[in-house]
Amino acid sequence: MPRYAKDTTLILHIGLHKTATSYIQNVLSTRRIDLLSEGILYPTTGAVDNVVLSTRPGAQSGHAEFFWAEDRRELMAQLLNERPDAAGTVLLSSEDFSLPRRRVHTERFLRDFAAFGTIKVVLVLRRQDAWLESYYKQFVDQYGNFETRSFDEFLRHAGPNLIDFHTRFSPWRELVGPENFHALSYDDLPGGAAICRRILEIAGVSGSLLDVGASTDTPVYESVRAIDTLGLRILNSYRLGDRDLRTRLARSIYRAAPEGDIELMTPDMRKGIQEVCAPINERIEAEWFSVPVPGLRFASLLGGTTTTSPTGPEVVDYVDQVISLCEAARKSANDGGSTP
Amino acid sequence: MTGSVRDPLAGIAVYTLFRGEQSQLLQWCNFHLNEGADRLYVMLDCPPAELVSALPTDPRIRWDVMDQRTWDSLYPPKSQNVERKQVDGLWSTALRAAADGHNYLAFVDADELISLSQPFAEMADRFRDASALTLPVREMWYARSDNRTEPFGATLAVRAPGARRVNVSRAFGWRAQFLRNGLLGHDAGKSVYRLPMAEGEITVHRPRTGRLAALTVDLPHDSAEILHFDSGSVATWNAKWGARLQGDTVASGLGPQRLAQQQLFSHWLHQPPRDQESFFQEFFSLDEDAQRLLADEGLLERVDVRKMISSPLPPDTATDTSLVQLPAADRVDYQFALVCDKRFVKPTFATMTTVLAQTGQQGSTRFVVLGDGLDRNDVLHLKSLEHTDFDVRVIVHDIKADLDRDIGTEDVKRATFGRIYLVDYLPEQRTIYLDGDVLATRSFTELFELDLGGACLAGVPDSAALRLVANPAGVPVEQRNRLIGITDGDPLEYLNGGVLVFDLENPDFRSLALHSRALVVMQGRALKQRDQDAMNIAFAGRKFHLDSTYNYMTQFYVSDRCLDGDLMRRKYDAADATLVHFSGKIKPWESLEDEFYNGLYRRLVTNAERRVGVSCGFYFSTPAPRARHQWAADRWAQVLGSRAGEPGNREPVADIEVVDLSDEGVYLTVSADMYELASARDLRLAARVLDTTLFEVSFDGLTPPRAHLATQVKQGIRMLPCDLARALAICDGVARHVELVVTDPASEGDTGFVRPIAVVDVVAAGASATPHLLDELGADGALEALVDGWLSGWYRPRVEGADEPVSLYIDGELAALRPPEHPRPDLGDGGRIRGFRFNVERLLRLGYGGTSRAVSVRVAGTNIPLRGAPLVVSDPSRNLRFDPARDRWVKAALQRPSVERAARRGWSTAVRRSRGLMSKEK
Repeated sequence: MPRYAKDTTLILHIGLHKTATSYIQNVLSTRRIDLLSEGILYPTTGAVDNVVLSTRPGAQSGHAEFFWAEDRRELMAQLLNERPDAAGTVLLSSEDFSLPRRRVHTERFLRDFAAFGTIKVVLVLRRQDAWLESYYKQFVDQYGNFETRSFDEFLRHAGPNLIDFHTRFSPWRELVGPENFHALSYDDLPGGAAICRRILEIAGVSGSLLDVGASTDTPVYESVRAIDTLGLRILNSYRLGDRDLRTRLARSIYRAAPEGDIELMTPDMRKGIQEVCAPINERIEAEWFSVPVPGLRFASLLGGTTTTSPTGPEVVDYVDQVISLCEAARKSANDGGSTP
Repeated sequence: MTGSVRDPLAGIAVYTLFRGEQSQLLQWCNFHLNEGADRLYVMLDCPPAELVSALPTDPRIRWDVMDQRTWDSLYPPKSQNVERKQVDGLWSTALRAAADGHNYLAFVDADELISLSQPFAEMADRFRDASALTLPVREMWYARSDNRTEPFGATLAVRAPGARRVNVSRAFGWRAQFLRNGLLGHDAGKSVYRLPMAEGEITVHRPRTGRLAALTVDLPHDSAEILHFDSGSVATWNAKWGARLQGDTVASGLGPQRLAQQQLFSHWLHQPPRDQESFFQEFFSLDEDAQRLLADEGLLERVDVRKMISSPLPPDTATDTSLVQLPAADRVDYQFALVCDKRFVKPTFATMTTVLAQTGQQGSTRFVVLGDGLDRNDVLHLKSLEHTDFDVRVIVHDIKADLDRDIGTEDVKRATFGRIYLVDYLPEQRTIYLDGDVLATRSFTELFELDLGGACLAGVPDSAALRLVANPAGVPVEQRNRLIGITDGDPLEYLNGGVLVFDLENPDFRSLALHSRALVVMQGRALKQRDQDAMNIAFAGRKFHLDSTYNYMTQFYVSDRCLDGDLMRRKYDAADATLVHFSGKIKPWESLEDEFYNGLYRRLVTNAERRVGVSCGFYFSTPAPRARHQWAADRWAQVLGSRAGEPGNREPVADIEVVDLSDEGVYLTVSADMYELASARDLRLAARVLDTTLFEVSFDGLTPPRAHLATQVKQGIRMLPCDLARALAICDGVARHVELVVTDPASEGDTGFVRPIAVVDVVAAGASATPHLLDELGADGALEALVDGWLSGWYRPRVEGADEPVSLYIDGELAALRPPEHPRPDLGDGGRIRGFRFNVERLLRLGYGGTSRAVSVRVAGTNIPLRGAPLVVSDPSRNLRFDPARDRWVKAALQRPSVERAARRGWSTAVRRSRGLMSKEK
């Protein structure tokens, strides 16, 4: 029979994607025991182990099972059973909580966590011109999205729904109350360790444990490069249903990519994004932050990349190789044989 | 009616929220004072300083100035609209009026006068138990001879026809399309409230819920009326609608007819003052014929209030009555109009592309497109022409609501009727209208300079007319009769609607266009070709014939009926047409067939695509240029920003709502904006009875939202602690007609505005909170049994049929709240009684309550328990039942009582019905 936790506070770290969430989740799960000693449970319930299924080492999505499960009641029961009586705070983290979903309203989602007395939400925002490109790369990489659109197509069609952070996340703030809604700016904090520290402060941690981020040796994974999306889009067009196969192929595609990188976001795209998002972010700064966040407001130029582009023949070779890999995999899958 | 009884308003105080012209306000005051009103409460909404300083003093008038600071201190910005201010102003004034000793308070606008045919005291006596009396409306129109510079100068009082079918078109002509139920303004009435006001919600017109609504009496026209001077004077009309159009006044929820009026008035407010005055006279006056027609139907009376408005308050002689003219839209060299729905977006874009290809280099171009059900991507596609090398602007208006209102939703091709709304949206210059299946083969800008000889409309005779003239025997009789009838015997006067020149600069154009629209709106179903017929009828005698080259209808020329003689010659003479109208049923973009006109269409479109640098998106189109290489920053911004800031599909959250009251405090929901406002302004929640404040607590004490109440009650419940028992001690633990209000530190007692948020008829606390008060409340209910951990009982609400909730408390803590759901016919009372169940055992295990485990169920919002409470649950597995005779809980027998079986059946029925498992009601 499920227990309730009326006197317990739930801290929900909801993302965004590409704001050091994997880093934070790795730190917190590594220091789980230390957190328990402070009365904070970072549970194992709901955590998705991506070791086998991740295309890149170190990647994870925290307690994503709470987001994706059709029926969360069983999961909630497990979570409440895992909570020791001494743990007055439960900390869940998954960037998937902030994914836009048409048919699931935030209040229904929060109602599933109604076992807790108080819910606090932590959202880490990032300026949209940097965030969108990172998000796109990860989106192409993820299994199940079968994303084949070019970046400009993605920007045109999906961008308008993604960039207005105020509209997207006001429902969270409305439901938990402004005093329980904590917005942080990725662009105004000096890295994942600092973000982790802020989250722990919100959770009520004090003393040296606040600096677990800096003092914990956590795996770091390399981000998807722009050139990688070229190959991954081709892979996605094959719509392979076998996740295991797709993961292995993706790893091969990463290995096959040439040195250097290509440009996804043009200066005009960036400027257009900034023009639209500047007033939105100014409003967010005024309403959600108690200190100025110039980074979020595009006050500074983004650091430019200095990598060279691969040559034309290198790109052609790369595309050929990707297509060959995918064709062989499909043929093999159709024949029921072994995969490359 | 007015003036026939002495002091008919004696016994009533009158409230209004005012923003506008001082002379109107003084006249309004004079009328009601002369009619004997006990007192006037005038709340001035952000008045200018000079108005405030000029207000006269009168012992029967209380002026309250509400500046923007006051509104801002109590309402988050998104909550401030006119209706909210009016309603909350009424509640606040009602408190004050009750404290001043008044028994009735009327709420009317400053353009409404209360007219009674008998003393109010007699009506009040007749309807002693009524919580409110609602008065019907008569709308005031001008006679030709009336003075239109006076806000109350109209003398013709028109009432709505009600259920009777009356041909309002005959009386109002083209204006009939702007009426709803025979009136320009509302017909919902206005209300007089008995004080103190009962619990319930109100609108600006009348009570809506609760005891207020249940006990409202509607008065008939022969007893009492509201005279609504909706037009006002030309100056007040100009000021009111000008403020709305410029966003100075935020009125939420304008109805479809009001929106249509706004569009109509918008045009005139952009004209010079003299033209505005002419329009005002024409629109708001009834001529002798109209008066006779309405009087014959018993809908019109003469009412002259001029003698009653000039004193005792001195008239204001310094009023500025100059009319404001809103700035006109910019002119362009060439303006085109089109109409389309989703199916026709690509073809319409193709039309625009070919036009731009042929004319774009000659000057600036504006396309005005009226869209029916277009989405964001459709609009972006149409507006992509702005990113070509041409000087072009594309404006898209959404007319879905207009079509829903006037045409209905049955006809999938209704978008073409949208032509009738062009008169509302087109900047005033000569415009060429094109159907979305017309393509340009060459420039045709000469049509913008063509001398139409005084005509307002130019077009090409319709193919049906050509056929009738060439071969009358080959045309069905009905069609022949229709064309002959519409054109008064000259069928070539029947123009095809695919290509039209609208001469908006002709002073007669607008009235003819409105007449055309009136025909479609009022009689459209009787017109075979609806808007095309209406247009030909309305513009009779004011049409100019264009050469066939400007509307070459391909359907006509591929028809088997076009075989010989003049028509064959015409076909080839006009083949090299300037504007080709692909008017067949099967459209060329749908057909892959290699037929001549299909090929012509494809060729014209692809040529234009190359020339302009766009893609129309057809299967044969030039591929669209790659965005990343072609788009500049402003285009990215336009695409990305098209949805930014759009509100989602969520229902608006009330910024503050009272959920329940208990000995320990008040349960509330508070929006994020209101929470921050309360913190910033040190707002308080106060409970008042007349002029006594029972308690006042700061919102600083609000708890965070109680997540565990999200499933049992609703999301976002907070608690504001206060000692209710202590607060009610001064009235022996029971308070009646309690108003819960939000105040700021500047409000003291009853001198400052307070924001009302709830009214409670009866609330009790401490030892005084007993079931004996249920009688006074007008409700009843009792706990019945605790079986297998489920607590059951029944409740009879105060208002029949209302979903009044009951709340479950465990040790003084709110644990659940919901309306009783299943009927209890076994308890009689005409089905009014409903049953409820709460899983107390589960709630106890979840940690609700403390050590004593005292369970009670209360009437939500009153803190009054039902009979049988409290029940101390020491062991939830023990089955108990309440014995009313002995007023105690006893062990339940093993056989469940029939009342429990009925409760279980009813509960199961309710659950299964709610899950859709039952096919019909029992």
